[in-house]
Amino acid sequence: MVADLLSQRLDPDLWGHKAARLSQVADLGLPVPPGLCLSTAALAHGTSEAIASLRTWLGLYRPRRIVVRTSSILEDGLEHAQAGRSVSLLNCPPDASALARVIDQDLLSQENLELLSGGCVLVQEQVEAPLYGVAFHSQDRLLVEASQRPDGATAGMPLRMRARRDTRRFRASTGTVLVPSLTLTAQLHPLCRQLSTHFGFDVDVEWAWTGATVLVLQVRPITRAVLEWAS
Amino acid sequence: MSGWAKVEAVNTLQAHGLLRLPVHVVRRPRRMSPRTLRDNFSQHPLLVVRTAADSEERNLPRLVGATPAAAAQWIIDLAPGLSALVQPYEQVLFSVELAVYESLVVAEIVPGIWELDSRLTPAVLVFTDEGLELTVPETSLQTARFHDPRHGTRQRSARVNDWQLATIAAWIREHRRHLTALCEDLGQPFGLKLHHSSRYGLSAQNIRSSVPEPETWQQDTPALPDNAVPLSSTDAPLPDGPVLLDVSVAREEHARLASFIDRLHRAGTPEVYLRSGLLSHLAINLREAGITVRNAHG
Repeated sequence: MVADLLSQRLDPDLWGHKAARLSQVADLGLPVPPGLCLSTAALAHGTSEAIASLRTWLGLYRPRRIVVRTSSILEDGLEHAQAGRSVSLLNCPPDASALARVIDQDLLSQENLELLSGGCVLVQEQVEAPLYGVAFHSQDRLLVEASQRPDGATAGMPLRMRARRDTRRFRASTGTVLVPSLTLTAQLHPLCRQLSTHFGFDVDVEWAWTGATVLVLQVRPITRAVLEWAS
Repeated sequence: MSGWAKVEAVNTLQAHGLLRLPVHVVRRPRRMSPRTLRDNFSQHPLLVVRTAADSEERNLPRLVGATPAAAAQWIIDLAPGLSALVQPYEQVLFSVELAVYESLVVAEIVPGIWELDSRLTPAVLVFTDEGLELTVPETSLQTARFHDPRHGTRQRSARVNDWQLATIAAWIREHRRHLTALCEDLGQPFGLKLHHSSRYGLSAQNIRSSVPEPETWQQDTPALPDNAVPLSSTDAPLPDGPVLLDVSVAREEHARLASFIDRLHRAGTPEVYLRSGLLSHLAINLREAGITVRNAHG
């Protein structure tokens, strides 16, 4: 089975939470990078059909770089996020055969196949952006961490900006070079509020900031309370 | 250093490479001639005239957006004892009050013109060697004051934006060495008023001798106590407990403000809370009266 992330609401039991939620975010009209979902069941039976599907998808969206991620019903749950358990492969080339090899060699290990049971491999355009990060939203308060690297904030690398925002007040700290961005958090706040309302839980959102738009890369529930919210 | 003469401030700013826009000082107003201003400001159809005196340095007369001929006549008619500082008229996009310390620079920023009676809550940008910290207590639109030659002073909704913050950050980085040198020359922290216009970017306007203690910016000040009493009129009775000062006094009514501050002082009011900036004109006046000024936003 193959599914275009942006054109239908995906069933989490078939495609995993990550892909299913992103398909809902796209359906809400919010910006999500284009992606193709390849079911693990289909991949387990060979990659020729997957390569053909990837080739078509690459021709349609013409991404410059690709990130390959897993999406499973066992990840990003309400109680256990399993954040960072599965592999995200950054900077993959926009070549169908090469992507199929990467998926086969690096993602479809026995352990991952078990994890991905009832899930998919998500092949997605890797967004080129000056800032990437994570935003937690709860009770209309926002906590943001930003990095220059796509996986910087999630991997615990040194941050470029840390910001807190509630309905009125904004506080942020950066290094000596970057200036805190009001526009970014002004866009993130209502976006996260909308996602919290839609999904019915406090959200942990991975995002990319192009300078004009916030792109949603992932949505999962906040599984444990964060101590430091906006004052 | 109590009260900087504006003329001395202009000379000091120039000597430290902090004066961006041309300022012509007229020490003897009665000898002013329109031709002098036309020659000095040939590229500028409209001018601003500020006045300076040795004794009283706050809220003196000024003229905004005048032709060189009108400015010259206004200067000639000035009261004795006043000097004039003439500079090009530029529309102010946003205003900044800097507090410069040995290892810390703080900028309070408001959109438009920042005057004594402004109730705007500024954005606060703190620069240290480790990085920047930005606090915006009020992220929604505020009613700011702008001036243009056609309509005069007008109010419209505005907020501080990323480009303005980046402009200030770049200016401070570029001038940090000059600011530090001036701090060393003065032997104490100082304040600097800046305006931003399209033609000159950020330009220093005046030096302030009064700035808060540096610790004010490095830690959260105590939150506004629950029993703080808002005071919205300078004529209202003074409460016994903590005071949230929510008054607005036009620069032309500075005497009323002075009388009110004197009343606070005599009543033994040790501190007040402001929603406006800690570097605002109101805060400067209060500090100079020995009253501790705290941020109502914490």
